[in-house]
Amino acid sequence: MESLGLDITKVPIDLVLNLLNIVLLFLIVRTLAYKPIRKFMDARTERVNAEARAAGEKAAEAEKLKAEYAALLENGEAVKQAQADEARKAADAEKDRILAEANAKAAQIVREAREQAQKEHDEALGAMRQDVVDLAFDISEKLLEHSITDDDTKKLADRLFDSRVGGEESA
Amino acid sequence: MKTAKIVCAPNVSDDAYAYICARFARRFGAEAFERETDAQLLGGFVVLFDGKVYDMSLRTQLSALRADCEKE
Repeated sequence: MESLGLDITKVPIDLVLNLLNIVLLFLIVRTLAYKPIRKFMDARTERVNAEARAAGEKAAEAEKLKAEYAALLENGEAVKQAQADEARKAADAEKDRILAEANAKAAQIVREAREQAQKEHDEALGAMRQDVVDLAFDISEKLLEHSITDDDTKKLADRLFDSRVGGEESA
Repeated sequence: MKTAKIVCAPNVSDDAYAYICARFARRFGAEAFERETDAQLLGGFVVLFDGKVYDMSLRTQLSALRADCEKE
C-alpha cells in the first residue's frame, strides 16, 4: 500500500470522507441535476413520442395522400380515356360532316357538268339543224329558180283564182 | 279604171303573164295591168289590186315552209 502512496492511518477517514463526498455529491447532483435531467428526459421522451406521433400521422397522411393520388391517377386515366373517346367521337363526326359535304359538292359538280353538256348538245344540235335548214332552202331556191316553168306559173295562177281567197294579204 | 299591178319573177314568160292577166280580169274585173319584175320572187308573181296583195311567189311559200321547219 506504501507503494501506492497511501497513508494507512488516514485511510478510513479518507475513505469515509470520500464516501461522504460521493454521497454528498450524489445528493447534490440528484437534487440539482435529477429534476432537470428528469425533466429533460421526460421532455425528450415527450418530444420523441410527439415526433413518433407526428411521424405516424405523417405516415397516415402520406398513406391517405398516396391513396388519393392513386385514385386521382386512376381517375386521371379514366378522364384521359373519356377525353380521348370524346375527341375521337368529335373527329369522327367532323370526318362524316366533311365527307358528306364533299359528296354533296361532287354530286353538284357532276349535275352541273351534265346540265352544261346537255345544254351544249342541244345548242349544237339546234345550230346544226339551222345550218341544214339554211342549206336546204338555199339549194331549193336555186333549183326552183331555174326549174320553174310557165305551166308551174299558170298552176300558181289557177290555184289563186280557183280558191276563194288565194294568196290574198292586205296591202 | 281599175288597174292591177303584177310583179313577176324574171322567169315568167309573156305567155304566162298574159294568162295571169286574163284570169285576173275575169275573176276580179281588173281593166288594166301594170307589169313589174322582181328577181327576189324566185318564181311566181304578186298582184296588188284594190288595196289587196295576192302573193303567189316562191319566196313567200319557201319562207312559210322554212318557218314550219324551224318551228319543229
